[in-house]
Amino acid sequence: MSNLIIFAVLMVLGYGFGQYNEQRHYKSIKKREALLSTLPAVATKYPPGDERHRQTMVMGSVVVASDYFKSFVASLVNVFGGRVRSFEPLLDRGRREAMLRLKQEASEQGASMVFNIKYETSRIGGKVPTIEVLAYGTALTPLHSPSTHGEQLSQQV
Amino acid sequence: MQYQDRIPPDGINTPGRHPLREFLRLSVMALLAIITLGFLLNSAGGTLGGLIPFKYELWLADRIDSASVDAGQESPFAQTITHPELQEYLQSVADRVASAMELEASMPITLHYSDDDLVNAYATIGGHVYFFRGLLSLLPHENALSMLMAHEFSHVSLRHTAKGIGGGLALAAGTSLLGMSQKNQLFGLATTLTSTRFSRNMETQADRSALAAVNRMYGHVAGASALFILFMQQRDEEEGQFDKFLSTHPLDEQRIQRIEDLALERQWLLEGETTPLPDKYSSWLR
Repeated sequence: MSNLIIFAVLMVLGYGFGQYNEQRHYKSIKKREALLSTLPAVATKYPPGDERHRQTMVMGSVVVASDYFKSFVASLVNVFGGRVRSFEPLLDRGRREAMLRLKQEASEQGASMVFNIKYETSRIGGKVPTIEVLAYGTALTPLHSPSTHGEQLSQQV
Repeated sequence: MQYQDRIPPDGINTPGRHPLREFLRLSVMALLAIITLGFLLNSAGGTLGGLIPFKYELWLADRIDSASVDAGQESPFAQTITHPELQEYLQSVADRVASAMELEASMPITLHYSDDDLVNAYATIGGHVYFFRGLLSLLPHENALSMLMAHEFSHVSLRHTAKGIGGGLALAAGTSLLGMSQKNQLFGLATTLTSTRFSRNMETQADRSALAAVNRMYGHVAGASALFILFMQQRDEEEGQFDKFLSTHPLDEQRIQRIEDLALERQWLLEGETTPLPDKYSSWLR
């Protein structure tokens, strides 16, 4: 009986805090995505065009942990198979946050775009499902260009 | 070439379904699957357990007995005489109950009296049946005592102990094969519900067989339900509603009703003179 109560409390706490954090995070992600939308980040392997740029590697990395509720729902899916819907927002948030951090780094050095973007995801930690999402790419900064996005961002994050 | 950035659209990489809906759907599926599996394992193991000859139950009890003695501990099956007059009386009633039940000689019953406040009695492997002072002191007459004994002896004769062990072993083996443990909360609840169902069936079977024995002994079944009225009063004092729901025994009200129904069906007399307990009975229990 006491085990059931502990379980119920963990589920309610996990759900409550998990949903609250997720919504707050998405709100912040959307705000910053709008701000950084002037900086294109593309997957193409080849730098565009004819202008001379400074090329630097930029990266953004984030570690996101699941909550008790999400992990429990995922463990149930493990029995029946199918989409692990409870983890999908977790990975989506991870990818978007990593991209934002990458763009932040690029914009702070005045880059005009980032190309050859790649993502890597790895699971870290033991019992609690925790993932690291890493986005990296090559930033192209026009020679002698001042930083534009960095100042805006530093007020938002 | 012109490169543009875009805001990621919503609802493509995320589920777009409320997490609680997903949780409910999966929980119901898991609960159904586990109950079905638990039911199958428990009934298969129980059936197999019931097929094991009683002599192996006796052998197992002997092994436990000698292992305890070897380890320098008191054997749980050692029959110790602490209250000679009471135990002699209990044995005399037990002999009459056993003969009314036509228990086979190959299925010996060993009585154990425990000087403890616990309001309980139980039968375990090898025909060992335990009675606690707490319960014996509440019995109003011999008919209730005979009903209690006949009920416990029925567990032995109907092989409920072996069935229970078989079912439990099958459940444990099946679940460990699936990599599930009792730590999994839903699983724990579901198996409890499944085993509860089985135990309740066993109790009902034992009640029916016991009532037939009491009728054979006294020519009526008056006083048999006194035992369950007693349990009902005890449980009302001790338990909440949730405990009742999970109880391994049928609810006492239902048991009393079933006794009456069975008596009417078999045309057994519900009224009759009850046999009093010996005068010194309560002093023996002190």
